[in-house]
Amino acid sequence: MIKSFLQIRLIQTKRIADQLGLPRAMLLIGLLVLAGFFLFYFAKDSAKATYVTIFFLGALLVLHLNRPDRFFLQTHFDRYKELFFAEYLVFGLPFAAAFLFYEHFLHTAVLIAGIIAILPLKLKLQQNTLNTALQRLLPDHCFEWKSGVRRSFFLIIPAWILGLSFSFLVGSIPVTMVFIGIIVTTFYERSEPLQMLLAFETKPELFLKQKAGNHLLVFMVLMLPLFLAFLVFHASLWYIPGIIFVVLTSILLYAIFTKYAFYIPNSKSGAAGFFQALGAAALFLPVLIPLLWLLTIRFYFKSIKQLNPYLHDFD
Amino acid sequence: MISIENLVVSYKKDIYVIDVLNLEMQKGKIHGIVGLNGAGKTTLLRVIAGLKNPIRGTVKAFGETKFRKKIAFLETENFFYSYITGREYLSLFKNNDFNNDDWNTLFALPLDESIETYSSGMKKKLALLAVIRQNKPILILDEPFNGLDIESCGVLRMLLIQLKEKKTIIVTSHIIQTLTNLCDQIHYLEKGKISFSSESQEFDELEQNIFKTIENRHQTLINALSEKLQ
Repeated sequence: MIKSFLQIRLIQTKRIADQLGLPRAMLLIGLLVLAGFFLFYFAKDSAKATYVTIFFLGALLVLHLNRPDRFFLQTHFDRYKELFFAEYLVFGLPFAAAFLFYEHFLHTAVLIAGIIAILPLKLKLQQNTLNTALQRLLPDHCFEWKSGVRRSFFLIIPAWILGLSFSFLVGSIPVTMVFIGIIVTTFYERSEPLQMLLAFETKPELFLKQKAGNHLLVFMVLMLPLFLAFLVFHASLWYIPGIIFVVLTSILLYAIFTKYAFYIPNSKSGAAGFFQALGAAALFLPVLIPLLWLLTIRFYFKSIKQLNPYLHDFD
Repeated sequence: MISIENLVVSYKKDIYVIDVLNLEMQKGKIHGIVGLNGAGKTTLLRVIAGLKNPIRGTVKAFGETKFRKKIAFLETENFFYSYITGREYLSLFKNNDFNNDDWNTLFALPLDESIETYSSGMKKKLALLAVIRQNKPILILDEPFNGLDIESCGVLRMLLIQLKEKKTIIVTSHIIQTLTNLCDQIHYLEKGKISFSSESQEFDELEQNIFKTIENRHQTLINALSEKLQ
């Protein structure tokens, strides 16, 4: 069962690669090689390997709680948790290999234990009915945030509180900022239905300007307490959260424009998914940041073109 | 008033979904558009709503060719963004005079629940509330009765009749009886053209004609195929 399941995943991956086209697929392979290089570079040092483990398990947790095929797998396979485990093990393999290469046996054990601990977690039911004061505080037009915060409430809020509580540790705030930043980029994975786009009744240029401005503002409000807490304990290192904030806002803008550059009502474009993954990768591979800035400019103009058929005759 | 002149729409080269269509729809009336599956009903509505460009021809409303702001459009299938509540969805459509809770007494939706928990009928009702909330002079409703329970169908019918004095309303349906009970004028779309339009006093005749045409077209084949069944 697990073998056929992984084969299906392989076929799906191949289809996505076909959709991307050769140049983008080559770029993806190049990025994966680069990511592998950085992984081995970071895994060398035990402390850095700990951060890598935390990032991997955090990202896996986000993925696990938001996987859309859970209901299908639960209803069609009795041993669906084994399928999850096999899949996550494949994701974790490069990390485990890097840790084993440098003889970090404890990290490898934590990685596998973390994967096993994530398997039974399921928060969807609570999320569906979740209506906290935080959701009501978010502006009406920031529906990606309303939806995203509801979907990832049990990740964002505990991470934010823990980050603040341990802000006396130098790594706490930067890790929290990056962790929340990764989650926020997932808010823009799916294109909204047409009626929601038309509800704004504005031209593409103004629509994008308003969207980018409003969303950056919400993101700043979320990040500001973290930034201030860092300054209280480590004022001389102010540039660390400062640089992370600049990088995260760049990625946020990039995610917004990528979504609309490939906008098809109510869908999730393969190309958009690829470029958004590239944005998330830039958090770990800073060399990609300049590329992201260039792509942000390109996708801004592409977004205008893509939205024009829907919004062209609004004043 | 909506006026359509010499409209031609195509998705593929030399295959015309709408083929030189002319139509006038006055304000204060409910206009029904009926036709077989694939006759071009949804395409026609999308062109009127400005979501599909024609190859040729013009669509004007109130004498203007740019009138997107005056349209509220209900699509056949209603999609929503995941993990947002009904209330959050409605709040995207700006209208301070529209009280969600007052209007919701007509449909009894759980507005504070995530839309993912809604049934397909509830989603349709939410989409209808959004269309009404927009308060536009032109309402375009593609299959608005699909998936609604009997009470909601009645409520929607009453509501549209109430609103028609102030608006131009266009409704499509696959079921002719749904339209004859509601509309002031019905346009029959066939092979990309309006083959005939009927006023309310001619609806009985229209229904009979449609069923007679279907009978003529299929009765012999149905008889032949049925004979082979036990």
